[in-house]
Amino acid sequence: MSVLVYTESENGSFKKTAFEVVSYAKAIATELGTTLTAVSINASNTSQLGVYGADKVLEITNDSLANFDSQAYADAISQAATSQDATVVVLSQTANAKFMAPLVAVNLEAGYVSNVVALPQSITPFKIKHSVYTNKAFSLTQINTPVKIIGLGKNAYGLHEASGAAVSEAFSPSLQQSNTKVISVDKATDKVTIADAEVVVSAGRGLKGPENWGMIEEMATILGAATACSKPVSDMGWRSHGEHVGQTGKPVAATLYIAIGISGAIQHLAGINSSKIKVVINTDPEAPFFKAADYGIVGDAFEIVPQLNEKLKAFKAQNA
Amino acid sequence: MADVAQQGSYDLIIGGRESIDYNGGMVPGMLAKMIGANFVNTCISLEIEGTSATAIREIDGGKETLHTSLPLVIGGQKGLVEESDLRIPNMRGIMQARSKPLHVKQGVEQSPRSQATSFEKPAPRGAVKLVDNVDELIDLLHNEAKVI
Repeated sequence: MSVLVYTESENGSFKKTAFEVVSYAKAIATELGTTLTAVSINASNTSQLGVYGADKVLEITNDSLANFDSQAYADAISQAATSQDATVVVLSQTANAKFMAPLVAVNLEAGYVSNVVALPQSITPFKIKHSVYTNKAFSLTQINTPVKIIGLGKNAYGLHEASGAAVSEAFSPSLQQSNTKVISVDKATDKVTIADAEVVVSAGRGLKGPENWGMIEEMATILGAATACSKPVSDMGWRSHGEHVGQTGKPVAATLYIAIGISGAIQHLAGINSSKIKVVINTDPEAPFFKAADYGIVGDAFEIVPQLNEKLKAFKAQNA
Repeated sequence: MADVAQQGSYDLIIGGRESIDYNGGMVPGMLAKMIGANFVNTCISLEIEGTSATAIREIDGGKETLHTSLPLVIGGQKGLVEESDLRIPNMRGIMQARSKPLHVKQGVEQSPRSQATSFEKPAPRGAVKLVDNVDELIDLLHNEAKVI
């Protein structure tokens, strides 16, 4: 018996979610009275994982895994889980983790629960709380299989340091010839992505046109934030679909979500309601978004946003 | 579904994205793995030529173009079909669809790997704090919410 966690990296460096899943998996391992093994693929600095509680790291180094390949990654992680006799496998909920999790589940004949928001409520039977119905409810789900797979929602647990050091070990899975090849990756490398961002600055139709996004981008730069938009804005082509957040777009689980000129349609709120603090700037005091917000300013974005940018700049300069 | 898919030896199976577990996206993937088909999730474009397929999928912060082959299962999402091509079916279409054969299959006996035992609502949230000026907002975000 042991707990296994997959730690995602990009260009060799671990993502923040990797440390979060390790922190979470450590708590489960402690509860079960067992050890925590992390699996990394083509990552360096694996000793960092020890800080968050990994007892052992299985390091996979393989050129054929340079690009994400759901089938190959799933096989590698499944084999690692089997080698450790793992009864619980913890994954994040990034696009890639969600892509391969069902494949791992079939490989290990395991029950899989996604968007998990808390530690298991009980171990026997294994019951765990996860977010359902576009975050409007939680379900307590029981997993009946010997191996359990948990997809931990972003920012659901946070980072918790543990004392200890991780022992590293090389691991070589036996991989089949893959049927899927990555031809190209089109990714803005100079920008914070919505998935990774702690702060997201989002704007809607209230901005009147794509030419007015300068102040939104400026705010994002000041705060080190990602930019996002509402569905109508991406439908009209003012911003790319990749920026659309909401039920049919990207989910946002940021620490701070700033919505400017977005009325707050229920589908938009469904995408952003796992964010911790929501700030709304809107001319219409009746905008539904105010009911879902923590802080709000009723007023014209074209007056307030430039003021806010100036003050934020001064604030950042003072607190840098 | 895997049982039906295997019996029909389909080349392409299209799944969607919206689901009760908030877009966990597990059904198309599990189906693909069970029937030994290739799988592309968060698929926003698909071109098929013979038995090979080129798909574009959304990744965190961008998109990725993949080359794969049939049989294939995709988890499609917004973007797979142009907005202008999305039409509500008209009466003629509905009548035509009615005349298509409808096969009813028996479910396969399976013991569930997981099951929902209870549901609860999120805790009610406090009322929004409306502020009059940006200084107050920055102060609250820094000192009260501690997010900047």
